[in-house]
Amino acid sequence: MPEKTADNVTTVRALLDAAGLQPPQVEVERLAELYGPIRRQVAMIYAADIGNVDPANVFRAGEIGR
Amino acid sequence: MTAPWTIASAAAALRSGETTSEQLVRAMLDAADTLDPTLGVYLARFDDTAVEAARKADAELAAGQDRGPLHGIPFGVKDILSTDEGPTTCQSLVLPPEWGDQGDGPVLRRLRDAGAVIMGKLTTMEFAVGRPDRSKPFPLPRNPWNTERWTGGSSSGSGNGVAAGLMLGALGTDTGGSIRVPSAYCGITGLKPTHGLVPKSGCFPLGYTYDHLGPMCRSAWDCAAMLTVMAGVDPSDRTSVPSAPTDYVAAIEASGGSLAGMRIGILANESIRSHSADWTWQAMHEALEVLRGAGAETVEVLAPLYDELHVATFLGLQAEAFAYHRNWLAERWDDYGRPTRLTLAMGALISGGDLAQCERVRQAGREQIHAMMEREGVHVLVSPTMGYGATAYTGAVREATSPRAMHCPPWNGTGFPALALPMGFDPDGLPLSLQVIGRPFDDATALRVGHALQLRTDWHLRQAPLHA
Repeated sequence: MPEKTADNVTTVRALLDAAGLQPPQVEVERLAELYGPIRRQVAMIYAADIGNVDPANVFRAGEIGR
Repeated sequence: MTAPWTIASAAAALRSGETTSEQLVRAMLDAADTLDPTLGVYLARFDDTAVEAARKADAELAAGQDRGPLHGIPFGVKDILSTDEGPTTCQSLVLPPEWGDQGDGPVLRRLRDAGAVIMGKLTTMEFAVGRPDRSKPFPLPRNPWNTERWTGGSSSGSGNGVAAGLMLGALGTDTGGSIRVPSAYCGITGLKPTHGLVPKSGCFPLGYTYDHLGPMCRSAWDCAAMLTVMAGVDPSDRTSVPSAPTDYVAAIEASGGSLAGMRIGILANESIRSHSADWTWQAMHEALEVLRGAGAETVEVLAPLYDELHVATFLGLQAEAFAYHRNWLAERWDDYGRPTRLTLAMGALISGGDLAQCERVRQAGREQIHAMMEREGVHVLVSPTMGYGATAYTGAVREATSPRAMHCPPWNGTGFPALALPMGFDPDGLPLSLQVIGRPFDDATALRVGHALQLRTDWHLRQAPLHA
């Protein structure tokens, strides 16, 4: 369920400010409604049992200059 | 009612003299004159160059110069791909017009070399993300099965254009389901190939590492014919992977439609079942019964980390998309459609650490699912493509619009090939779709399963009420 708390509005406004974005307040509030579900999704991926696996994206220095 | 053209049937008719490429192209352009104002398929039409290319194809075929099954066939191109004819808009007011000046990418060049006739540029969602936005000056894509329903996206015009018979194949792109969702909603067949099999150069990026180009057609055979031409490494895309040239048509025809020895894993993850309608589940099991009749064995399996992959794919692609759009968002917020800018801005709410964790889940998921397929001895996995038929533009039921009703995103995260193909209709007469997921770089087996189903059913040949 979308949820909007004063804390989430404040947090989202701060994150958008830091990212250089200045949306109107009504759209900040819409994003704040989505923020709680996003953080729960993020919590889910940190809770996953994945051991010591490396990220899928890897840096390959040998792609150039060889 | 006569059967609609497929690439296969049109290719045969071009060689038997039943029709010509110019006749096909002109008939489809005439049909677009009538249907497109309602359906919103095209952003730009290339009538003159299409007719010219068709005449050239006819002359070459008459002279015995046969470039293969795509020769003289009309195709459309999603408007996030640059083409020689231009323009490219990404259905946005934000994209600088000069972005499209790069012309054909490698896939367009390969299709043209195979004799394809490019009819025009097709509707999408803005930058292949968000939702249709009535406030911007672009057509609203409508579903030919019911114009009050959405086509799905973001390859919207590719989906409804093929379904309405305004072209026989189209190029789509798929970052979280954007080939498979409109294929499902519009009742056609679409393939998200293995990541790296088809080069992406010339395509505007959404999620750099999740984007795929793929074919959208009526049948698995037609998709195989397109993939044969599209696949192959190109130095302009550093994620494209060297692979031996493969004739996917020959590969799917080799067994004569038999699936003897094929073992199919039915994804039994609870979240797939709970986000699918009962009628969708029933249609899938009826399709599986057909596949068992073709000789396949089926077994229920669980995909490890499925739910985590679903989440990680959405979060990861949002972060990647935000990186590309951040400067434009900062300067031109109001020029984006509201659904687009809100979706893109969600990427600012995800930390760098979160993105790295998405990438770790992604790697673990692809390793564990591949290991499960090896352990269970399954060649492909199946699920519904979407849990529900096409959603209504107004008054859609909540369950049908949930992102969890999309059973596509994990296969963008893993990069595994995934084929969407028709498997019946819901109680409102809207198409339902089966998803067949292959092992990495075994796209041929997923296509072979789809071809076997389509040899025994005619769901893929059913005509929408609005068609050419």
